[in-house]
Amino acid sequence: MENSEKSLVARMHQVQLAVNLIELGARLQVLETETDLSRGRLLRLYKEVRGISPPKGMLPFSTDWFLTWGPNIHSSLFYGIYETLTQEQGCKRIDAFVKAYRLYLEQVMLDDSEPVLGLNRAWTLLRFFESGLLELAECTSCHGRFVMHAHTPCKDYVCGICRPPSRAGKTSKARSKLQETTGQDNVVVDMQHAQPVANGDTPAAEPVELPRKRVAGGRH
Amino acid sequence: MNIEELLEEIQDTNLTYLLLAQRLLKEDYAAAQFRLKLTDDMAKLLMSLSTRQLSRLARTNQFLFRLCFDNADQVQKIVGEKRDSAMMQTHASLLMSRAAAANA
Repeated sequence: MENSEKSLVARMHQVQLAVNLIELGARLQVLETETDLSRGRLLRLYKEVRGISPPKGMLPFSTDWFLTWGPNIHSSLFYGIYETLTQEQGCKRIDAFVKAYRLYLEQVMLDDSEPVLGLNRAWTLLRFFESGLLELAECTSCHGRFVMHAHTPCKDYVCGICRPPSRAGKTSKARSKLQETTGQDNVVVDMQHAQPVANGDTPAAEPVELPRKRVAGGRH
Repeated sequence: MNIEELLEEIQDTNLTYLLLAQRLLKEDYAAAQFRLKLTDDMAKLLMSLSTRQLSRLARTNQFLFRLCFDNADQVQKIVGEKRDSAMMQTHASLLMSRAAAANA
């Protein structure tokens, strides 16, 4: 008796978690990994919450994206919050993930800038940390901690804010203004990539996710 | 402004802080703990206090809370950033989330 009640509560918790994740923009892969609900149930849940079918296709899989200028700062902010919640406050992994992502979004909204780090990216980031591909390195100038490839020598590391690359001055606002005038239907992640390309650097991230970010773009 | 007024303001600020802290903790405990940079013990205690106890705590000539940055250089780095004010806020937030970890 008690057992079945418990599992009902557990089930409710799982559904609630899935709904929270869907609202924040989670793709099906994230939901399948993080909840024990069936694929069919998740699909239905997704349609109910969002009113559309979940997008298909692979999740981003490159660590390099997290090392590019804007994404690095956003990722570092998010992961710093996540780490505090889990390590200092004993929050459970996935709860901490959702809370940290909300806190991250909050800050970005306050700053009037775009949430460069989408939820699925944030989740991939978490997995990269868990598999030891990424680490936090301390900036020798501001003592903030920033996302880095694991095992990179970081004795003299200076972060992207303390020593921004020359192209980094263009704010997201300036960019979106430019967009408005050109009328381009650009998207969050695209804008980040637009910079290195324009400077002749190699575009750092994979193209897989790009067309799917549109939902989060929030054009008015 | 005379000293009485200043003292009153300090006490008002203390009480406002305590009341807000309680509200935040009741709303979302973990997120509030992060925002307030409180240990678990302190967060639980604050949450349990009555308004009367809170105002007794607030009645002092000193601030109950202090700046969470210990390092003046760090603050200088944040306010000295010329490029992008949005990034400055993000930077501040990033450094503060770390300050929480350092003090806990």
